[in-house]
Amino acid sequence: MSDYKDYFIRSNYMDEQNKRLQEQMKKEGKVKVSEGESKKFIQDKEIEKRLTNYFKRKYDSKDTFMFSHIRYKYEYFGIRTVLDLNNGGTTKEIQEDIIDSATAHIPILVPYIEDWDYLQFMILNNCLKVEDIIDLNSGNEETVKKDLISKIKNIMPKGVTIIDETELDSALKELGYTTYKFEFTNLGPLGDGRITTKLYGEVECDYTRYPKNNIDEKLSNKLEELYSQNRLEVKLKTYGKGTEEKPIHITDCHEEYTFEGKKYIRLLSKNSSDLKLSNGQKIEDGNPYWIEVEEIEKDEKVQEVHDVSELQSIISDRRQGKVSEVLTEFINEEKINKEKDENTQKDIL
Amino acid sequence: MIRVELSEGISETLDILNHIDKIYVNKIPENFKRFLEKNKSKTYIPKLDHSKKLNEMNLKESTKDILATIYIHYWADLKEKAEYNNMLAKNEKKYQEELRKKYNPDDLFKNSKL
Repeated sequence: MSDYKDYFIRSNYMDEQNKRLQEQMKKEGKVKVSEGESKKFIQDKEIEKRLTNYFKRKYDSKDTFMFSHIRYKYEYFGIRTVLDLNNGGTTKEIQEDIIDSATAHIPILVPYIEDWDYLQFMILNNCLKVEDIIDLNSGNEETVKKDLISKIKNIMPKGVTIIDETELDSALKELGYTTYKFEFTNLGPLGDGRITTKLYGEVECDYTRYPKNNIDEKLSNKLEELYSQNRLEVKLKTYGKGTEEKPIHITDCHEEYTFEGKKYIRLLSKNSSDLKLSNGQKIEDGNPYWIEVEEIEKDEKVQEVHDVSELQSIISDRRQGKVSEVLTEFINEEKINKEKDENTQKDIL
Repeated sequence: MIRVELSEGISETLDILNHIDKIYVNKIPENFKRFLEKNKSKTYIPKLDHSKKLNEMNLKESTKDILATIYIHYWADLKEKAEYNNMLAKNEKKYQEELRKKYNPDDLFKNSKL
């Protein structure tokens, strides 16, 4: 099953409802927030749909299909991250997508590079475990990017296909799009809906795991022992931990390990001067800490958004007279406002 | 001065608009939004449970009228607008007929036992 049930809010733009939701999650210590981008997304459902169908046909894919956090721009394409160093850092979605897409049976993944610097940061911090790592300073950026993407392709879980820039480019051209100055985002899965992603307007919420508590010393030692013996089932994931006072705390990425059915991360912080675990324990640089992570569910009540189609059931019995009254009130007030404005103008003159 | 019932309906409507996709809310002109904000009730604070569907929320009649106004003027496309206008007209006709039946002086005298 997918690991996406849990929470995190990626907040490129938040409306009031999401702000409230985020505040609530912050209070509960459940939220990690990326606020690095303020650009509004333009959704283009038509392009998204056509691309989805195109690639489904091309790869004969009947399984869940997902564009992974696409914000396609012609100028930037590659692997998307949302790590934001300027705002204290948060998460990097690429490795989550890569790994989780395998368990969620997502056969096609479109990666893209939001920011080259972030990608370098991820590699340098070992977030992306590319074997035989390439020298980021070798050659020009394009060459390095190309080389890196081809290496990342090799580490994809089985069943995940990367559609690279060239392929997407030709798909778009084939579909009759010649201008690429659009951005879109679709985080909804087509298929079994195991990934709980909600998108409305310019807001999106994702669900993932979050670090909970560090664990007792005995278990910690046990895990450390198994870890050193390479005997733990591992998944590369990214976590961040926020507190109410300082929502975004940690920029490190961590591997997730499964032990006796529970999930843990091994935290080895390099910049931990402010970092405390939820039990108050301070993290010391260089020491490994084992933290249990657990799933959390979204608060359906807060999350609720009415569909406009719900309106039909409550407005079908309205009558013209009453509906006109509302508009009449509005028009009358507009008239009064206009007259007031005109009088003010006259007074000024 | 807006009627109390309408101003309370406006308060509920604003609450509902906070729980509707921004794409739709953005279709409402600013002057209409200002009208709503200005005329919302100063005393009535809606306590709507947005985990419920709109038709389960026991909304005020005036709220439904305002939402109908918003729907027909700002959200419905041309076809939907025409269809809904017809529906409103039919409902109005039916209502007027019922009123006539109820308050027709002839019927009133017919039924009375003098």
